[in-house]
Amino acid sequence: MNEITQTQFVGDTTRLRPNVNILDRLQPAFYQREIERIFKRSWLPVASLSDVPEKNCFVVADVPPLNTSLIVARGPDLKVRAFYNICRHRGARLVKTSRGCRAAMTCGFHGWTFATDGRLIGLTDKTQFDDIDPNELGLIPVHTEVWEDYVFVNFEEKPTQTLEQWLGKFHGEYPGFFSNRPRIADYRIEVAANWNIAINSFSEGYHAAYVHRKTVPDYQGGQKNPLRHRAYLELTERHGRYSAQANPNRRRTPVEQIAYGRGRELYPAFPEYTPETLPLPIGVNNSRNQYWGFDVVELFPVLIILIGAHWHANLWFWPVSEDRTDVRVQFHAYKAQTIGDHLAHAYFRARLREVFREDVGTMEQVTGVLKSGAMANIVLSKQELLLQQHYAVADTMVGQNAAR
Amino acid sequence: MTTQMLPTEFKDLEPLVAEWALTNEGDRLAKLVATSIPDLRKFYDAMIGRAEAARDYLSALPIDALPPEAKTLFHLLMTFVETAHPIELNWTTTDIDDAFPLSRVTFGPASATSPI
Repeated sequence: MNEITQTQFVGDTTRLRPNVNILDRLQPAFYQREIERIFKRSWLPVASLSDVPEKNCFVVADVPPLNTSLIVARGPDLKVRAFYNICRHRGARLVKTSRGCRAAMTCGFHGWTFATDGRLIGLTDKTQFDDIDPNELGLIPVHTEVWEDYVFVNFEEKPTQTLEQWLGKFHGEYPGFFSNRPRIADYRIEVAANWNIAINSFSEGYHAAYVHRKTVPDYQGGQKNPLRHRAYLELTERHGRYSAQANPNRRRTPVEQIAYGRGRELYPAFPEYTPETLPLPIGVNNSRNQYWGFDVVELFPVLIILIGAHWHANLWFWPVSEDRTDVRVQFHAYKAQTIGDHLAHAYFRARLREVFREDVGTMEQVTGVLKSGAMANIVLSKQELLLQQHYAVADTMVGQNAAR
Repeated sequence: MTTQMLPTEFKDLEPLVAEWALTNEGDRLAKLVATSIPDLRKFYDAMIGRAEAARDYLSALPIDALPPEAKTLFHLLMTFVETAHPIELNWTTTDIDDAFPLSRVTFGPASATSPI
C-alpha cells in the first residue's frame, strides 16, 4: 500500500449538501431560532468531572445562549448535579466565584445557605417568613448526566432522549480514555464570530497546510499524503469525527527532543501506532492507522474534542449573540510523575496554543467579511464533511432548509 | 550577602533567572511576545547547550519536594521550553501575524499557576 492516502468515509451522507447558506445564520432572528430549537433541546456539555474532583466541590458553568449560569456540584453522596446559580429567596446569583470546595454555599444577599446537593440548609431569620417550607426552596435542578469525563445538562422539561441516545454509537467507544488526565492549560476568549463559523474552524483539517504553515509546517503531509487527506472520517446521526494522519518524516527540533526526551511524545509529535505500544479504545484512531496523528470529535452543538495518544483538548464554542462566541479551551495530558513529564506538558502546551490562536484568528475574520453580504453560500469539500454534517443537523433541528 | 539562586552545577545560568525564570504559562507567553527575536535568540543560545543536563538533573529529584534552587531552575527550563519555537521555526517575529491577540485571552487556573 504505497498509494496516496484516501479518506475512509463512514456514515450516511445522503442529507448533506456541499452548499450551505451562511448569511442567514448571521441574522438575529435566525439566532433566536437556534436558541429555541437547538440549545433548549440538546444535551449540552458544561463541565468536566475533574472540575468537581471530590464531594462538596463545585464549579460555575455559564451557558451564554440561555443567559444562564449553572452550578455543577458533587454532593455529599458523590453524585454530580447541576443547578441554576440562583438563590431561591430573591433570585440573586448564589455563587460568584468560579469554583470551590465547601459543604455549603451562602448567598451574599441575605445569607441563605444551600448544600452541594441543592438542599436549603440555612434560612436566616426564619420566623419572619410566613408559611415557608425550606424543603421546597432547594436549588432549581437541571437534568444532568455524565459521559466519561464530561457533565452534560438538558434544559427540556423532560428530555426527549437520554444522553446515551443523544451521543449514539460514540457513547460506548471511549471508556476511561479521558480520566486521570490533569488539565495543563485553560483559556477563555470572547471572539467576534458566529458560533457555527467558530466551531467550523476545528472540524476540518483542509486549512492546516495554509493557516498553520508557520506553527506546525510539517506535522501532517509528507510523500504519501501531500494533500493531507484525513485517514478516516465518520458521521453519526448528530456528531462526527475524523483521524488526521501524521507525517512520519516530520523534523524534530532540538528543543522538542529535549522536552520529550524524559516524558511522552505529545503534539506535534505523534508516536507510531501499534496495538501493543499504544492501546486505545475502539473510538480512537478508528482505522488503526500506523501513522495516526490525532482525532477530532465534534459533539453537536458546542464541543470539539481533540484526541492524541497521551493528551486531549476540549474546545467549547458558546454563542453569546449571532456574532459573538465565548470560546473556552482546556488542554489535558497524562499525569506527570517527574519533572521531565512537566517539560513535555509545557512544550506541548506552547505548540498547540499557537496553532489554536491562529484558528481563532480565522473565525473572527470570516465572520467580519461575510457580514458584508457579498456572498450568501459557502462551498464545502469532502474533507469538510463534518461541516456539512454540522449544518445538516442544525437545519434539521431549526426546522428549515437554510441553503437556497 | 549572596543568595544562591540555582543549584551549584547550573550557577552559570544565574544571570538569566531574574528575566526568564517565570512561574506560569501566561507570564511566559507575555514575556515571549514582548521580546524581540534577537533578544530571544540570546536566551535560546544561552540555554540550548545546558537544557538537557538541567532536565536530567531535575528529573532525578522528587517532584513534590524540589529545593528552592531546583524550583528556580525548573521555572527557567519551563520558560525555555515554552519560548523556543519562534527560534526553531525561523519566525521573524516572536508573535504570529494572524494569531488572535494575546491581550484578549483570559488565562484560567491551569495556565496561570505553576504545576508544582
